[in-house]
Amino acid sequence: MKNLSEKIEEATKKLELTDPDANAGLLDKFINRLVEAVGVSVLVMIVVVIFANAFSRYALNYSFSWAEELVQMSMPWLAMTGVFLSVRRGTMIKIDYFFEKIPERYQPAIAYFGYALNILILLSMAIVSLEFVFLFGGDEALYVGLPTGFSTSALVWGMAGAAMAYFAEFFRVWRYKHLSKRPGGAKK
Amino acid sequence: MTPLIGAGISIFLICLLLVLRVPMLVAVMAGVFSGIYFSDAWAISLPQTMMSGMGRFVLIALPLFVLAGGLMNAGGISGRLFDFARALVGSLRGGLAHVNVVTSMFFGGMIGSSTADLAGTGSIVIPAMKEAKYPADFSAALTASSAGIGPMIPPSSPMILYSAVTGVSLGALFLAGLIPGLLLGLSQMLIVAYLARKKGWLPFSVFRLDDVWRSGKRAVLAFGVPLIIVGGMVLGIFTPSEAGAFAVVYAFFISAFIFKSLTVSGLYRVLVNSVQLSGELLIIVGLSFALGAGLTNAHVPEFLVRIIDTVVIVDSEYLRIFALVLLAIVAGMILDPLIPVLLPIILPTLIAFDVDLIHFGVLMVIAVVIGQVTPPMAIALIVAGRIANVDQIRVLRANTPFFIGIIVFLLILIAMPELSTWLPEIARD
Repeated sequence: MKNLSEKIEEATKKLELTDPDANAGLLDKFINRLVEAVGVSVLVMIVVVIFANAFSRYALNYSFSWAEELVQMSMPWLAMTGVFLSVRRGTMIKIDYFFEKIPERYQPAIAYFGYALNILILLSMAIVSLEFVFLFGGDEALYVGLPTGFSTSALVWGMAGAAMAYFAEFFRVWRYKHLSKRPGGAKK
Repeated sequence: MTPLIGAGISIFLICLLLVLRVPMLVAVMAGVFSGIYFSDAWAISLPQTMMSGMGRFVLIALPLFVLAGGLMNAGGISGRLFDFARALVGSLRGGLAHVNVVTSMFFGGMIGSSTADLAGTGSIVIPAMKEAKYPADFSAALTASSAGIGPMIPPSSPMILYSAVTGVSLGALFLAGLIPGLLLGLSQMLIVAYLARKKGWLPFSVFRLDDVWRSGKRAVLAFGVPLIIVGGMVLGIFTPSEAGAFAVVYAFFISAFIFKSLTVSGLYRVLVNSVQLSGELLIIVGLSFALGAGLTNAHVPEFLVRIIDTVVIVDSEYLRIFALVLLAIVAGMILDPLIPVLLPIILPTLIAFDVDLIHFGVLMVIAVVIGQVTPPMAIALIVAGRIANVDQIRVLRANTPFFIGIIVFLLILIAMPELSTWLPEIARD
């Protein structure tokens, strides 16, 4: 019985702590680690600022007027790094059920269509966001004093980054298929 | 083309793209773009609407609650919770099945841990149940269904999304989910008890008070996270994000210094997981505001009100709520996350019908839970079926008693809103 609870502890820890990039190439690892570092820094900053603000309010009867605004301005960066990592690791929310019911010979064409659409839509969003940043990004935030473009530019970077990640994935899949048709088979 | 037809095309496009395995984020984004095209709206307003959706202060709590749950998992709390559940109910007939349900109820206190509960605990408990001569399909079905208790018991991520979209108090929602969450767990235990008697399943362990005391002491620190979050918010000590930050600090302290099982690399991995888990949800919530605005401009909510008034011929609030919940259940079979995508469409309708948004919040979370065990998505059934090495159809069939149970439970909740609104009302008074 004790053994069972130890096994459960081990299994849930493993689930939480396994590095998803353990088998990735050096460049992939580097890119992911870089984005991870941004996301983790933002999350830690959010925790520290909110905790310090609440603590100071109760302990010193003083709160930082900029805390709420800074956290709100950082949220898009947190969201965008998360989306980028989800795209890179193939964990975006999607439905596999219907796709698996489609005859196998049609699946590659639909998958390529999916990649093309992902790239197109995400790039369109990046362009619209860029226009928005150019138009309104110079406005200053009330308490933090930073230009609001600091926050909205996360949309540009995130969407363009996700589109590029899909493009890289598309290229990888296409190259693998292409090489697998040659004599000697595919080289992963 | 009328705006309503344009909105219909946008919704159809989202559904079509989802069927073609396009990610939810891109599908919704494509729907929003098509809505902008059909309504001649200004595309540049889209980033602004998304930013204001993502900037909702209650949403900041989401990554923080997920982080607190991740830290507790990395600290090794799951084994302690299982051990405590075993000491409490392992001595009943069909003990291991009861322990499975109670462990899920305990896991409900830690947000973002339903995967840990299902894939982590399930990966050990399902084989153990098979070894103890429980049918494999039943073991998988029970594990999948019991994992659904988590979103009902506070703190809960679907409730954060609901609060962000509707503006309903998160503390009130958490309180509203407490009794239904416990009752859902109890209803599953009743089904297990009935089956155990019928099939002669044996107890898993012997009940001993000193065992309960010992395992309870080991597990008690895990309950600090939900206590800080729910207690802090209900008593008005913290805002949701502050409750999240304090829960993170508490979980870090417990895992690193009391349990001594959190390394620096482990902490980094938990942080990355929290960023990754929250990121996509935050963007979808941001997009849902743009989608909702577009559909409202196209008069979709008024159209929905007319449809429901036509379908529900008797003037009954319960039947209207039932019709809306039915819509949510059907949508929940395909959409995940359901709440940020569906709610902007039906929120004006709920307001038009004067539906209690706290009560409906709990019903929406049940619709989410039902979606997890109903094809085609049925993510919980698929994961549990894979662990048990059983065909999904068999798991679906074995899940019938639990499915009937949750539907009956849902009907009771619709008929008796007090089950969910009683605690928030007491707290308000």
